Amino acid sequence: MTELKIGLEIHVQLNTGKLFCDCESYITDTVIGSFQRTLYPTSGELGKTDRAALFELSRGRIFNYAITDNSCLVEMDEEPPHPINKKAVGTALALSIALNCLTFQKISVMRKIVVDGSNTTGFQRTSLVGLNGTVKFHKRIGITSVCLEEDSARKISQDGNTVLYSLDRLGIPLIEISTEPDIESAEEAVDVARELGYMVMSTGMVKQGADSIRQDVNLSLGFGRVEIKGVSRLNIIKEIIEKEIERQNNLGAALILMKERGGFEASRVVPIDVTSLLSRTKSKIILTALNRKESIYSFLLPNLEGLLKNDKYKVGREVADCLKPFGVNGILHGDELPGYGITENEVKEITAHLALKENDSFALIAVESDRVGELIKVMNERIKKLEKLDFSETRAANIDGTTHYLRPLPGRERMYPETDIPGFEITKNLLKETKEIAPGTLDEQIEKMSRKYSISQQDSSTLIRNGDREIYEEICGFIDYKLAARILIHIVPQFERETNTVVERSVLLDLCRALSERGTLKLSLEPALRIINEEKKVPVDILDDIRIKPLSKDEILELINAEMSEEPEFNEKVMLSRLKKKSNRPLDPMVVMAALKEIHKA
Amino acid sequence: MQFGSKVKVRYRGSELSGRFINKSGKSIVLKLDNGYNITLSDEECEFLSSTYEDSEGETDIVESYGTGPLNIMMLHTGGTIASRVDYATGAVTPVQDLRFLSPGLRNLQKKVTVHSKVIDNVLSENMVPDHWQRIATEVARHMKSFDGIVVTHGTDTMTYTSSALSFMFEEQTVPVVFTGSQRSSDRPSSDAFHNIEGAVVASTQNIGEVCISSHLDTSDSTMNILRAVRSRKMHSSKRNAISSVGSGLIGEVQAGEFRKVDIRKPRSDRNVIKSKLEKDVLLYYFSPMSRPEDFLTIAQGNKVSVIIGTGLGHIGDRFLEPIKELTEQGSEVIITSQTLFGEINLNVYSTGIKLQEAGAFSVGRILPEVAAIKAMWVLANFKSEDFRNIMQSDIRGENPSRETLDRT
Repeated sequence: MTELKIGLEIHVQLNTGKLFCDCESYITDTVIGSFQRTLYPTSGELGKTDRAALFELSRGRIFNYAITDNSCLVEMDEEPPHPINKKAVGTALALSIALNCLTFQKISVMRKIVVDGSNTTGFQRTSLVGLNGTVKFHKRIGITSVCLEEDSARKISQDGNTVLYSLDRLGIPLIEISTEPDIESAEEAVDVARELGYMVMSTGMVKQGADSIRQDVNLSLGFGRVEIKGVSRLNIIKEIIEKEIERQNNLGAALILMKERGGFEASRVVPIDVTSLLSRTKSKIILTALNRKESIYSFLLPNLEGLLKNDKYKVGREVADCLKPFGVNGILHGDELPGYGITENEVKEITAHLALKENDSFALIAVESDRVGELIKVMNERIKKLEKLDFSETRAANIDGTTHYLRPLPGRERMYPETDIPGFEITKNLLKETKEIAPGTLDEQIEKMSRKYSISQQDSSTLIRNGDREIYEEICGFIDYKLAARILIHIVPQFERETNTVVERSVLLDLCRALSERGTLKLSLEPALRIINEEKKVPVDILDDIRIKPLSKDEILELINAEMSEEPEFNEKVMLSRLKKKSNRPLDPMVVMAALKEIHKA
Repeated sequence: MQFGSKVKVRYRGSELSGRFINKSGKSIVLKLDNGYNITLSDEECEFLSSTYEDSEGETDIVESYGTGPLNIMMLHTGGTIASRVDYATGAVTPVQDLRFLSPGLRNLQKKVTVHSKVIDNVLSENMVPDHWQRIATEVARHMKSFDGIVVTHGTDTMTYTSSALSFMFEEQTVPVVFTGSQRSSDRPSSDAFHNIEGAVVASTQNIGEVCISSHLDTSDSTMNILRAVRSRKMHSSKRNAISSVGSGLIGEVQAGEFRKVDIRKPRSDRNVIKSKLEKDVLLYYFSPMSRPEDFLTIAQGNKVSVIIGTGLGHIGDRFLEPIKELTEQGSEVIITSQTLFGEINLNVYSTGIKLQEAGAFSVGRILPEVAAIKAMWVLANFKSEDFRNIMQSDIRGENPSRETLDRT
């Protein structure tokens, strides 16, 4: 077996505001209008129309777009793009430098043709910021490129050939880091993805949110390169890779068997209209198709008997998958028929005209009569390609760790210059500024942070891993470094665990700032968090709330005297816990001690 | 070095290979094999090798498209719609090859055969009245032998050219439909394809007018067929930038089907064309900052001054003297309005009455630019004593006598 080679593409959304307009980066359901478009592939800079783009065209789709409150004429492709977002460029440049990439004199924005509707323009704006880098984690990993691009529109739904997208995500800056295929196991892939993720997060420019980091996995096992899109969680990478290896090995075995039997004779695949033979069927699938005015065709699948769906052989699924982009949900094939309400007699009738030979199987497809020819052609081409043990294609990750066919791999000449945006010059000054935010590897960052704030390496590591580095550094701007670490590592996580909630970091920052100005941060923080959470308040509402105000020395003395009149005997510790029970306000043990001392003296 | 040459360069210690795109100033642009363009500083870039293969360019140009019975002539004058950017030089070249616009024609190929001819390559901001006349001559020449004429044109001044042709063509045997685009046709999202479809469909209808095909709104679904003399570019970048002001919608095209709204004139059985123009016409924008002496300086020497006034057609009293001077010298002064929408009425306020006394007159609802173009045409083709009367009447739908609360 050829050795496994894996490369990763990490996509990270930035919180800098959109890349080519002045809209903010967030996801929203606030829709203020909609419109409809079509897209047509056009020629690239060097003349040839892109293969992947043409493929999308053959699908003849209509795109609807929901206009959100964070989209303007730029996202609608109704206004030229604004100059590129400087903060986003700085972040991409910082990462390029940290990853030892080659950088250039100018950043040139390109148009990458994408006509699946996910960009209103029909292209994605992207620019190459760093090239040919390398980074050392547990071993050296080559970095192919660091790109800065605009995120695509968010797909909401699809109904046949009509797709609905939301414009909220379109234009959010996305940093794409691609590695060389230097990764040799699924475990290693997870590690590299995690390390790269930390590096990007350490810039402090990463957008918060579930979808803000996405991975693509490029994998080759000797059957050509397979690109798996949209692996959103780190912990699924391993499973995806393992299942893909299994799929390719099984598919390879099935196809070798098919070849030994004489191969896939595409010329024998001739669809025959069997609609009339099934007019009395009880099969729900067929009846639904007939209701939609579709015709039912049967056709041969030469030398595929027992390989379509049988134990580990699942060629049937591969066949069905390639028809899905054309709005065909599936086929019914010989390995699963009789079944799905289709009787043995019906099977006999519909296969009667097919000239089945030994090892041949067959399938049924429901489709409008004018499309059947085109679909059979698509299917034949895919099986012929697989037969050559060329599995290269673009696939998409499913939630369960499996993948499905998406489209052929994009061709090479899919880009041409974005003539509406002037090149962005990388000046010496910009490089200097950028070096200051340049992140290092995780270990380097931990070391650097622990030194800068005199906190333990363990605390530093926890803060970075929790994504709290940015807020920590901000809080350190006005309070003691150690207290800041205690708040973020102990007080807040403990509160979050007890209440099963998440404290929003912006709220926490506001609260810390206000309380530290009043000098009561240490004592008031926890009660304040509690009130905010229980009573759904914002920090400014509760700053003067008596319940978060620490008891003064006089108030404590008064309380102690009242306690002593009930029970004169006490030691310091007992008194402290008695006072805590008596008052619902925070109290400072040091002040209690001082008060007790005064009483003793008296 | 030639555009497209395969090159290897050394740059900051790395070897890169790709294709040479261009060199400007101290920057060299290469296209890497991964498709990205990179810009390198001249000083840091050392060329290791370069080879150039003359690629077989597509030399065959398709000048007709479709197999339908109706023959449509598409005349290209330049502008975004019929242009491609040459990425090597940045120059804009005209497209004669109809395959480029074919997505817009695909659904019509059994109804029409579209023929294509480049008659000019002018960005519309560079158009002057001489171009209008050349375009009119070309259009007139093809009217006899085709079933419809489509003119592709830059959108910036499309309404000027089309309005000029509208006046020139007193009677026409076929529709003349102008169209353009706000997104160049080398972009997948170009509005060109739908605008073209609208234009070709409209050119097959029983319309004896000069019109414009343009998006109704931001969606690629409905194309407005607008009366040229009531149209105006009202947005710098949106797809529906060209819209009619008040009335002026002739029809709509949706999914290749024409829906009639208001056809003023059907096709005629003959072409009557008066293409002469008097060039000495001034279009002047009045504002609180305007100085009467400046106005007088530029107005003198023009036979007509069209002033774009405020509101109902008002111009500051300080302009009464210069206007009087001009009209006494035999010039005509026409008042229009910056409001674009609504009628000019010089009888409501004393300002208007004083303007009339100074010899100026208003022209109903005619748009300012259209008033100027009409004046050029009327001066050149009719007796001067008829000037005011023709200017104030409605001859091509430019001056509707009533305005309702219909769709605008």
